[in-house]
Amino acid sequence: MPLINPNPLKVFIIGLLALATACQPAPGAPGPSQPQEKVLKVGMLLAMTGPGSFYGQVMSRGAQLAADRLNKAGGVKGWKIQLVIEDHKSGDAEAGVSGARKLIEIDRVPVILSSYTAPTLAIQPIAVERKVLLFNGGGVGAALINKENLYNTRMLGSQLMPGLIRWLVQEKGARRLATIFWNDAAGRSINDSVKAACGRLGCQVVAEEPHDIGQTSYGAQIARIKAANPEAVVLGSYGNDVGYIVNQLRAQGVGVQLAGNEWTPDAQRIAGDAAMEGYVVAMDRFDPTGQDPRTKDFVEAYRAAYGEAPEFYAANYYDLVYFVLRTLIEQAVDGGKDPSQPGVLLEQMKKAVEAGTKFGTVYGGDMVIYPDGTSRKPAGLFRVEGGNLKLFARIVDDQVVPVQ
Amino acid sequence: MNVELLAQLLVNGLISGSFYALVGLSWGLIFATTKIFHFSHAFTFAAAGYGFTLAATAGLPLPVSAGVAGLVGLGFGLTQERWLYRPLRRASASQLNIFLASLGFLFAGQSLLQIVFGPSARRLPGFTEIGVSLGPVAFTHLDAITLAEAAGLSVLTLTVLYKSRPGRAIRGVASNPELARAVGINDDAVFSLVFAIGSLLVGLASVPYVLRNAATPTMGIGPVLGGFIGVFLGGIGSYGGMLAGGLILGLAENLGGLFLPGSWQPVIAFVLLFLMLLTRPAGLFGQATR
Repeated sequence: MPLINPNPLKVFIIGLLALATACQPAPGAPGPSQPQEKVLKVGMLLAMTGPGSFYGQVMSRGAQLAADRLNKAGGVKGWKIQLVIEDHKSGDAEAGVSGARKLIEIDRVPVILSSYTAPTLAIQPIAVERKVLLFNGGGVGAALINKENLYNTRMLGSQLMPGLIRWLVQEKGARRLATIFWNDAAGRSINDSVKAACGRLGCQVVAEEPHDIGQTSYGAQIARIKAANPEAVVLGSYGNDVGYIVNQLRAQGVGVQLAGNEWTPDAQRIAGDAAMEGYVVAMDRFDPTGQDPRTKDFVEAYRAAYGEAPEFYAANYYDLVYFVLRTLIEQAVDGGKDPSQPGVLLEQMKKAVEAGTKFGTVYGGDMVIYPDGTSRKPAGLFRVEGGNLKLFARIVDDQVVPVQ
Repeated sequence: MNVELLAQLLVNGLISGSFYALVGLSWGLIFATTKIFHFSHAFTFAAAGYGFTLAATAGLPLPVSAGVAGLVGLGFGLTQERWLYRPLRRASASQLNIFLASLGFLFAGQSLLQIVFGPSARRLPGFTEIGVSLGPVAFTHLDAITLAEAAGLSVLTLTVLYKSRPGRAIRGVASNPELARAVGINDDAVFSLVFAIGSLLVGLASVPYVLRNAATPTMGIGPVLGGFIGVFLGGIGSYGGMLAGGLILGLAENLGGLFLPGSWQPVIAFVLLFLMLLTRPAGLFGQATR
């Protein structure tokens, strides 16, 4: 008696599947009647669900807009861009690795646009192993610097905090600072940057309060911050958390200057206009009302596509596809190479960085990416006034230059 | 010891503890009676929160919107009992299967909320908390409402459970379902009743939470997790114990701030739960069952 009794229905279904598989064209091969179209798959690893799903939404919108515009114009040297998005569930490194493996092994993407510090760091060794070019336009952790294959087009906390602390010390006279920050690589990096800047500028960090990502109640942290009697509070938190913290700090009677590395419309809504008024944020200086032709062009196209003005994160991922990837694809094709092959775009990126290539950006001016994986774009200090961000100073080499 | 910090943390602990106590009572009432590990209570909480936000945004007065939240909670709770758990009970599903179904319902519900309302947080526009300072202690009028709501609803629920005929039926089914059936109590009706009361309570509990924070699809998980840790701390067999467990959890989490950074709160909660399960599996006020 056979150990396995073959079920005729199962055999039939398996046979059908095998037939269907055999009839599939090889990956990348054109169908018999289709015109040959060259498609470059671009992987994205974003926070599509969870507390940071706002980021996934705007980042994917920015990149999709760029891809749509390039494709509508006939593609980049004939290559159409197709985005393939995977979800790291708002910073879950394990989900990030799983998504990256799918992107690399199933979708065969030669480049991944990632976000958040933890998942980006988690997938970086895989990217190195499979010669995949990796960009991060959202995470801010200092650990993202000097990582092979990884380039960060968001200025990191360690680049921006010195300017912010200088402003707090010199302009606001704050000598006693408290920090409240994400209990992960990104938040701790901000806290370390604040302490390092204080060491140079003569201020003191009197309370350091890490918190879980996505926390909504900060009673214990705020009680400890209040007890330390700081003259300013610096936030190393992101997304909605900023709104909850600002709201609760104000409600608990903390009236000192609040500053951080993040502001989003959602955080503004959560905190409420009154609580958020006067909050200062140091970040890459994307101003949707800017008069730079690239900025205006992007803002108009984004408004037409999504019915609202773009913000910082949408701008970062638009930049990555519209300016950076386009340049790399053009270089590869001009050099007679196939950009969809592993390692080709990575090689072009290394060459571009070594050559000091200035990439376009919707921030106004140009973006330079350095061999250590950091980038430099126009950056500034913004103050929340009437529910909107208003640029009041530029950060140039850690110095604060007031805007007239 | 910093006395000002101690006073502030005590007040914070009472406020968050009262919230855990109310959510815990709402969940524990269902669990104690039906033995269903109703994790999708978190979805009921979130759905009620959205109901409140939509009603208030549409211009209804806040107390009326709070009523809407309670009704939405009640509606979703009863729906789950009737269309999710009852068919599973009829099919003699194991507790694990029922728990998995509840978990699945929660994830599906959260995704549905995200699809319908979008991933962004929905905050009630125009609502601001008014700060109150009493010496070194600061709280807001919303904190006071949270405390008052939890106390009022808890007393009302205990009164119903101990002083009314349906309450006696609930306690009867919770303590000995076979005997309750033998004396003619319809356990399906009692199950529906506890789902109705528990879901109404959690719907109302979502109101101060949404006013403080915002409505998001995943907003229910933290409160319900805190609530049921409180229930296990206090003891399943005692409604007063469930309330006390929530208060103890809130106080312990906050008073831990005297010695540890605030990020240790979840660790404190789970260490407490672990110690309790190790030393008194029935909880502080619960009675060991056969």
